[in-house]
Amino acid sequence: MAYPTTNSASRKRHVPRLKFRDERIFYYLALGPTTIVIAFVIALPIIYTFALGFFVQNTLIRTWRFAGLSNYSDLLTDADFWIAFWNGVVFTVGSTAVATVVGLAIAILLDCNFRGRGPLRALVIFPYIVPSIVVAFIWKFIFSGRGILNDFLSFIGAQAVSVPWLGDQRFAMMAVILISAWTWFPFAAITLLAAIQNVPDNIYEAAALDGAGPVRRFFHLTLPLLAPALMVVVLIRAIWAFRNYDMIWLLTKGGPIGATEVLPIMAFKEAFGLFRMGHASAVSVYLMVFVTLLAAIHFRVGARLRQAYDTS
Amino acid sequence: MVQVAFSSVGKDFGKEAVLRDVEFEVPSGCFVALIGPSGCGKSTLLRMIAGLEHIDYGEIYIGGSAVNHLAPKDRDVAMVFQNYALYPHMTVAENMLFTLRMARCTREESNNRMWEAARILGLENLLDRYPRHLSGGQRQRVAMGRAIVRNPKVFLFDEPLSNLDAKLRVQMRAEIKRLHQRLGTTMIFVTHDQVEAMTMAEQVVILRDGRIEQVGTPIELYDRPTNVFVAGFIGSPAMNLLGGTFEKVHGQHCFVPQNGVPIPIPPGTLVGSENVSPGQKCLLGIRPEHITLPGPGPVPEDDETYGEIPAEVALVEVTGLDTHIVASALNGEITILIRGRFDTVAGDKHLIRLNFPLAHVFDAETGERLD
Repeated sequence: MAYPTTNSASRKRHVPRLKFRDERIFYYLALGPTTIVIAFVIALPIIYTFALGFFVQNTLIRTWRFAGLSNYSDLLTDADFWIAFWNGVVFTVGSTAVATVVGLAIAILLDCNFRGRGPLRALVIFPYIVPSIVVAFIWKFIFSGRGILNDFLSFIGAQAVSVPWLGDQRFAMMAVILISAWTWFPFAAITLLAAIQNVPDNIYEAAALDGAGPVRRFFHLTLPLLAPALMVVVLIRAIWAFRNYDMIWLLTKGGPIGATEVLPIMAFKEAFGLFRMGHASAVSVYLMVFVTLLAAIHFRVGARLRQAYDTS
Repeated sequence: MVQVAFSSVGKDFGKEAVLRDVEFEVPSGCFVALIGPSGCGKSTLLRMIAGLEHIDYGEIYIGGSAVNHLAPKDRDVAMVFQNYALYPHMTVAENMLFTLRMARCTREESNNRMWEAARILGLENLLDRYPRHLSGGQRQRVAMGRAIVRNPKVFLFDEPLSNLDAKLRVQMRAEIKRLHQRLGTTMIFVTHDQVEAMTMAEQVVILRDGRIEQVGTPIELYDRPTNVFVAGFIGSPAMNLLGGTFEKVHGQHCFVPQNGVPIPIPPGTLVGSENVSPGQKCLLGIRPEHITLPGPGPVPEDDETYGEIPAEVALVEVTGLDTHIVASALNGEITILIRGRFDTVAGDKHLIRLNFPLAHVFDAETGERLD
């Protein structure tokens, strides 16, 4: 076996060696450009926003005044801020719950064997790929005072309950939650379908032999085995919902009378309606803190669940 | 008493029939192996007993009553799957208790049965572990524990040893056999490994292309295979099958291989060959261990029950315990198995001896045994 040895040795001599004494220098160089880009497009705006919160600044009359922590502390006693916060919580919990439950039901349905399953799987994706602006128009059309929903209600003789759904303080949040859930259930359905298909069939067969009927199989096997995927769906959805701006803005602009005003809408109105950049920045910073907390839970709990429910 | 019975059972997958006219009975407490090549329908048959596959034709009886329309849980059978199918989010104890919880057993009763099963299988120290923390052999034991706690009428095993390494397989083989002796419950075991079937089972069912080829004890299958398929399937190395005819040559009963020299058969030694009409194409089956080479072995020179033919050694394989010799003879290759060592190399010429009383005769066209 002398030949390959000499061959590889002679080949080695032609390989240009890295000149770096320390490998770490190479890593820093490799990561450097990305770090700089991230610093400019992510870190810098965050720091700038955070700093803006310490000033009273009016973009219209261009005044700057250092205000210390007053923007931050004022918000904590501002009733509107807390209303927006709780609206955000209601919207997040509501739309996440509806999207996840509907998504799970659809995922289970799509896992069953029936004719037309393939086209249906493709169709389910539809709400997810429609741009927000189109979704908003479709649903505004359905939910408006003279929309399809009310036409239908009067058709079945229930004129009494026909209201301008998005324009009524009592129903606006519910309508926004449903519409938002409609755009998001495909994500839940597809993610959960993939997770369901990952569970080996013979676990269910073993359970069937062990005496578990379909309902008990669902609660004792499907649900626990889907826990990691459910956690991902719920937390990602929650993070997105809490900072959601476009859908609510397009549907109600936070109205009527603040019924659907959430923190991102409040920040937008403060900044570009009232031109109070300091205030708006403080709202944004609080929003960022809440979302970061959700993200932290996502990474912590998600990792633990994935480890605990490893099906391999 | 019959525990499991099959009456003209059949199944189709689409247009293709995977099982046809399966008919046999498993006595109570018997250990039965279903064996056959891949795709012969053995696993499907097992799953039909369990209720995991629909029975398209015929009926399956468990404990005397037809179970065709019973749900898996109502059939009183427990199954051990090839990849164990343990519940990954439950501990070993919870895996075993699951079925008892479903049956709404009392906590005390459940725990007693779980501990009893754990003791039998040596799982006491693993009860709070999760399946992912267990080795293959341990998972296998948990899967068996899950079956035992239910105290079912029938245990079904679907190739339970095929995921284990060779050493562990031998160990688990003995363990399952011991378990059977201890519990005395009917067991049906699917395998494609003939050694497993031969060593563990009391009854072996050989399947091919969805049909039963033979049912019998391991020794019956070995000694009297009903057809060429069974003859070739049981035994390792496989039986030698020599094509030819039986004729009278110079007044003596002979086996005439294709294009070969007639081999005289001493009268009364090869029963099956005597009723064969002259010219009828046959297969002479002889196991490698029933061929000897002069030198070693206990064959006396004047033993007239042996036929002698010249052979040239082509290949020698030494396993340590045995010597396998592949030799060219009668215009083909013959495998010879010699217990112990035999000093020969490729190219050596020997006279080999066929032990006719232990040979088999099959019809070359139908493959059926002729006696």
